[in-house]
Amino acid sequence: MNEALSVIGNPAHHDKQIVDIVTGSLDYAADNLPGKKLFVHTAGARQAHARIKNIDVSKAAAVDGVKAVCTYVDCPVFSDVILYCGQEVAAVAAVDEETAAHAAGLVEVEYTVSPAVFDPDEAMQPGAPLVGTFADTNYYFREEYRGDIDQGFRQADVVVDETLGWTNYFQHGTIETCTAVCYWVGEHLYVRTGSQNPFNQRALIASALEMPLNRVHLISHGTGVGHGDKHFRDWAVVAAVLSRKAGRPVQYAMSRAENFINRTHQFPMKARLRLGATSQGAITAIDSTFYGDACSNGWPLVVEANDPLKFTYYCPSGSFKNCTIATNKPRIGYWRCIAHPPATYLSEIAIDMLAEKTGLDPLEFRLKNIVTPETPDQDSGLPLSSNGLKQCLEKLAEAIGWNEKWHQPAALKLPDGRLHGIGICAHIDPHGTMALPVGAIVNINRDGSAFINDGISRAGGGTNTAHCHIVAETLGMKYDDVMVGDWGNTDVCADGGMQGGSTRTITAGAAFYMASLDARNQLFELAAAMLGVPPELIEARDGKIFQSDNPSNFKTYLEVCYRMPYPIVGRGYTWEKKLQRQVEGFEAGTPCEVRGISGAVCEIAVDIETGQVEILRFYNAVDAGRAIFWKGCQNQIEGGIELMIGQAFYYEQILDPVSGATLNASYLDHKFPTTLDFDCRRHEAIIVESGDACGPYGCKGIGEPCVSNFGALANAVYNATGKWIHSPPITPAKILASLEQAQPEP
Amino acid sequence: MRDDAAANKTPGVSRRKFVTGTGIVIGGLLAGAPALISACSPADITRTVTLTATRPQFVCPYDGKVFDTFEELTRYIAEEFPANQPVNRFVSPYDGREFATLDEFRSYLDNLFSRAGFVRLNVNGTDYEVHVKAGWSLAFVLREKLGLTGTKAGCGRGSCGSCTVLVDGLAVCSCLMLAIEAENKSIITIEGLSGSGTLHPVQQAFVDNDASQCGYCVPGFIMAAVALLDKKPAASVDDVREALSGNLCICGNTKKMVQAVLSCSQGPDNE
Repeated sequence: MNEALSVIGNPAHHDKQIVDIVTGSLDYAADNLPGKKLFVHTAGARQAHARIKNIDVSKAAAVDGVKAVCTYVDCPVFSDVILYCGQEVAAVAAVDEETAAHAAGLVEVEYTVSPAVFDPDEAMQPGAPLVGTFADTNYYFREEYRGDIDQGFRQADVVVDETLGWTNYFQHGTIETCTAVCYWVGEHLYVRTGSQNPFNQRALIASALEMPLNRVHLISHGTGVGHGDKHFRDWAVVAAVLSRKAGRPVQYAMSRAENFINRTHQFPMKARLRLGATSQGAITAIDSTFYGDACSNGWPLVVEANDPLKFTYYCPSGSFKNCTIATNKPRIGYWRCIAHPPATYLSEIAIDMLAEKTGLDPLEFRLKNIVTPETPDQDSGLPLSSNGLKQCLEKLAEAIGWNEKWHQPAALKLPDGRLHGIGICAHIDPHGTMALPVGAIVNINRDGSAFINDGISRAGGGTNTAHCHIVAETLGMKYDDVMVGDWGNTDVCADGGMQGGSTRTITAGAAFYMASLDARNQLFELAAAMLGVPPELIEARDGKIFQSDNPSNFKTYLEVCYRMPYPIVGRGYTWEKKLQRQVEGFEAGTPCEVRGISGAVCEIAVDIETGQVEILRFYNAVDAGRAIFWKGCQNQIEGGIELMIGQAFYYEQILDPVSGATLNASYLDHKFPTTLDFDCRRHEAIIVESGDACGPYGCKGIGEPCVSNFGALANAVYNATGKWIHSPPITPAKILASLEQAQPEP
Repeated sequence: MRDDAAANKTPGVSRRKFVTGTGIVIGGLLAGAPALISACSPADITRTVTLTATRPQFVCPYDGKVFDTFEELTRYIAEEFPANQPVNRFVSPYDGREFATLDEFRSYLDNLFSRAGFVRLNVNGTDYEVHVKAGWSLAFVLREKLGLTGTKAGCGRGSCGSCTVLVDGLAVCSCLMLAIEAENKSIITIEGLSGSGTLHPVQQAFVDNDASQCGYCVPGFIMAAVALLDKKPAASVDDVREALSGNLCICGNTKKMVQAVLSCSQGPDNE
């Protein structure tokens, strides 16, 4: 199938905007209207749970250089109900950042204070203060079942029953803080922002300001990392309100501290996992309960926490429960996923524990229990569109030399005295599926080139470029002849949906595939007349349109497009989630399940004197179905390794246990790893291509699967030290503490 | 030429020197020393604490003792820990003047920073006369006054490196340098690397390696790499890792960036 493709998967192709990036000319939100803007700073609440009795902005408004102030009274995204310490209560627009920050400090607030609770375990106790998120409790449960769980445990010879967690609470730390530049032209609002979801963000802004959609014009070009934090409206609404008041363009670029406190966070998770297996190593029962600290907004994102256990392993019986808890901590959101990275971390620790009890090594145990390509979904019975997990694990094992390297826990010292550890992790999640239908537009130019109007912005996943690959391949154009026209612009693009759920290449890619077919059909009509053959006999490849049984009878794209009688535009939309070809006895057209699939393996050295962990090698394998934009795919998977290292060893936002104030709202204190913290040459991406039967050209989503396997690091630490550290970040202090427990007091 | 200039002068404010030297003390104080004042967000510190809370607000960093007011805490530290008095000496990083109290120091800085005037900046070989406030950072002036928006803002504290520019050949976080400090110095921004229409070799290497995901941090990484290679054309992999360690890439794309920089090095690690 690869030979049939001339554009897709070519490792020589570059990102379409890479030259703009290296010259600094790609425009991110704050790069608009230099010298013409006002700057915003917000005032944050000094209480974690309170109601505003009175707010006085007169001193702030009187500061020289302040042009507008807004509070919860006139800004629809602020509230007089304070649910976490630092929550915005007012915003000031001024001539420069320092003046705005100074004036924001002069906002005076009187509160009626209520008791607050920050610890999720405490919040679940009877008599705990009510957080104020849910009506009359701080938590609620949901549950699902599969098969007969009691029967499953009766069949089990070994059982693991552990409570693991909490995992780390941290902020995305997007390098471009959430930023919007807003200005008004009459009744029309123009918004420049970094967005993962321009059309929905426009809708949210319009609804907040009670405006029709055709009066809000949102343009999102460069987006300095989304990671799930840039789906929302808040910062743009603040800028829009202040801009209307001040009558001037307003830029709200959150300060790093504001971004750490007021944007969304990855939520901490705890799990009670009871797993049973036969002595031969077949899993018979999974009883899992995940607890998610959904903080002050209480989003029930933890509902997806059971997915990795449910989808990765074959198991006839299961009881899958989850519990959403509210606390007075800064709000949560999606971090590269909804719940899978921390859930996988905890689940995969439990799977390693179970493997140990059965006497199998972790790889062998996984290979025995993972779902195979032939297994339909265990709950719905629908076929999977493809499943390359076995290939992922086999390639990982081969790359790192698992069979030679794996040893019993705490059994191998390196010559320099450090402990050697190796760990593996496997993961299937329901991401990368066909999301809500979106549209696509392909424009054909008279010079034989094309450009696409892509409804999503450039948040780093390389999706605009992937869409160019799909369009060039489908039209039979040269890759260089397809360009991204405007993108992330709600005025000229079709709704491109959300850059999330690992869906962009597959969902919007399908729309671009259909748009290309639409344009191609129109062009082939034209070419057929020129070549003197019926349109059914026309093909195109490498910039030529030719007679399929006589390639020497051809016209170039230039020759055909030059004679376009009217501008040719291709329109497309996403198809339904159905098999596009036969799979394992399932006919094409059958509804199917699409899964995100990945695995990781790593080798580490642990210094028992200092607790430092050095990563010796780290392989991240992701089933991409088919790599469309090969280098972008590789970049994301390599990036996944650094993000997994960050989750395992570094990321953590620390709150004061008394006041709930964030103590480390800066990059200096909220550590993100740098080039000195690991040797990136030891990281390797492995792209597995299982040929998805649903995605265009067989592609799958990779954005979330590629960051979910940081459990491999915990398993490697256990393999090195014989100690489980199930509350990341795995700091040197935690490792030393765990090692001390091992040594009996003399 | 650039090397000579750098050697003859006190070398400006390199970002690592700034962070490890006096800069961090002053910066910490201006920002409100979050470690000292546990219950306030950094943005809050410059205001008067008027909160009538029942719980104590200020924690001594040395023994954990708690106080109701900042003044009590500073007095306590001065008495109990005379050797550690970070809050009792306030030194202006700009002219070395000392102040006894935070209030005096603040009002001096407020006064200093609110002054405005013309400053001559040499950016990418062109002289500009820019009207600036004394408190404006070089990053702000480059972006908002000169429209050179390739220099990105990421943290305002010199910890992410997105705003890295060359000042007399040294990689400097332009968010940590005031525009007035850059007077009469030669400033090169990302826009100045490819002036003649062709890409700088480091830029070209970033293109060849597709060393970018979201791309926001890339100009900063490139400037840090150019500063390194100008000084040390045969940089080793360790040199590159160290030179790029002041820059954050949240997408996690450093492998490709290190590869790209190494490919421009004449050193042995360039495979």
